[in-house]
Amino acid sequence: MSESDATLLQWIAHAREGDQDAFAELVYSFTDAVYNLCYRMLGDGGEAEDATQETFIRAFYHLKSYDPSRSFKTWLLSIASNHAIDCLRKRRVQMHSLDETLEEGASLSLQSNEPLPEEVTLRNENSAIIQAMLNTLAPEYRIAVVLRYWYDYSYQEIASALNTTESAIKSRLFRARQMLADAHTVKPTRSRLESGRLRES
Amino acid sequence: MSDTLRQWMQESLDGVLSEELRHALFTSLQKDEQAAREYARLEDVDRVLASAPHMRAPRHLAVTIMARLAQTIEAQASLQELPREVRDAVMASLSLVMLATLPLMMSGAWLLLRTADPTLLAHVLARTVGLMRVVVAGQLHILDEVEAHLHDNPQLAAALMALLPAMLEGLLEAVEDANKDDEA
Repeated sequence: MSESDATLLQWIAHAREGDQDAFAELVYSFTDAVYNLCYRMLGDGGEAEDATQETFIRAFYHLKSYDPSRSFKTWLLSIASNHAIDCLRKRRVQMHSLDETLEEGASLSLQSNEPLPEEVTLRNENSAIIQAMLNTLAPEYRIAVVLRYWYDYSYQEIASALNTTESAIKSRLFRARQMLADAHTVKPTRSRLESGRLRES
Repeated sequence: MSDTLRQWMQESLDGVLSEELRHALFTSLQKDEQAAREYARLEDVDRVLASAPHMRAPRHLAVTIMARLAQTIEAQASLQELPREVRDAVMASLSLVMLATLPLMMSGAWLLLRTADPTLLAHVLARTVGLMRVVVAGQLHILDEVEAHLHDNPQLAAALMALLPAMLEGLLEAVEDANKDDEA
């Protein structure tokens, strides 16, 4: 066991006893990891902040259920994943209600302070395109892609975090990549347009 | 394109395909133009995703989390400060209040639905509203007293809560007396 692992386990042990300073160390160590997952899942900075807060609050109250033989980060990301998926499902219900309202005859106003999609793309092209691609995926597929690409998790680690089987994860990644490839082919990136060719390998 | 070939493509992108199978994959791709295009598309997606940056949390977020946690713990602690017997007494008193209020509400509803005499209805409504005002004012007064004594003398607070049903009972008796006077 490395020194950092021993320190981590010590923080966890103290936090389990209600030591807020020890828990603060855990928060400082993993805020970026949890926030990135929430951001990639939800696609919105404000919602990602809320989800990150909720993840740590839940983690604090369920620390006793954490098995120290497993990775703490995976356990934490598992909580974040479940919460983010719940948020997306709730949002989908809300969006559905909005669609129904619009179908009843109201028109959607496009007057907004939000920057145009083109401006967003120009500002942070790569990140925005990736996020737009991710947003096309269902939550279960999106989380598999996020854990695979942003956390470099193996099939087994993703399955463990999402409490499912390796074959289910392989299947989700397989379908997710195909869906993304379809979306990506339809909307090629600006840099590819500028270079005037689509990559053929 | 076979399922095996698709599986090899995915495993190749995930870096879990053996060297031997990887060789077999590329041999197949050289022979199958459609499969080669599909692999190129998937490879493209893989490259884009692999280049994605990590989003860093705003600087204030960790502090915000700890502040919210402290608030949550404090709120829970203040709830747990109430002795069990006080919490039980509060629950019992509130249940009694509900039970005592129920006949009043039902009789009011019955009168509203049944009466055909507007004068009688106005009279009943005025009396009911007046009674409810007295009840609410009395309850608020008792609850203020309960709140004031909750921490220093929880037993007294529980006893005060128990006064609520007694107060309602007294009011109902007063109403009955008033009705008898009206009839006389």
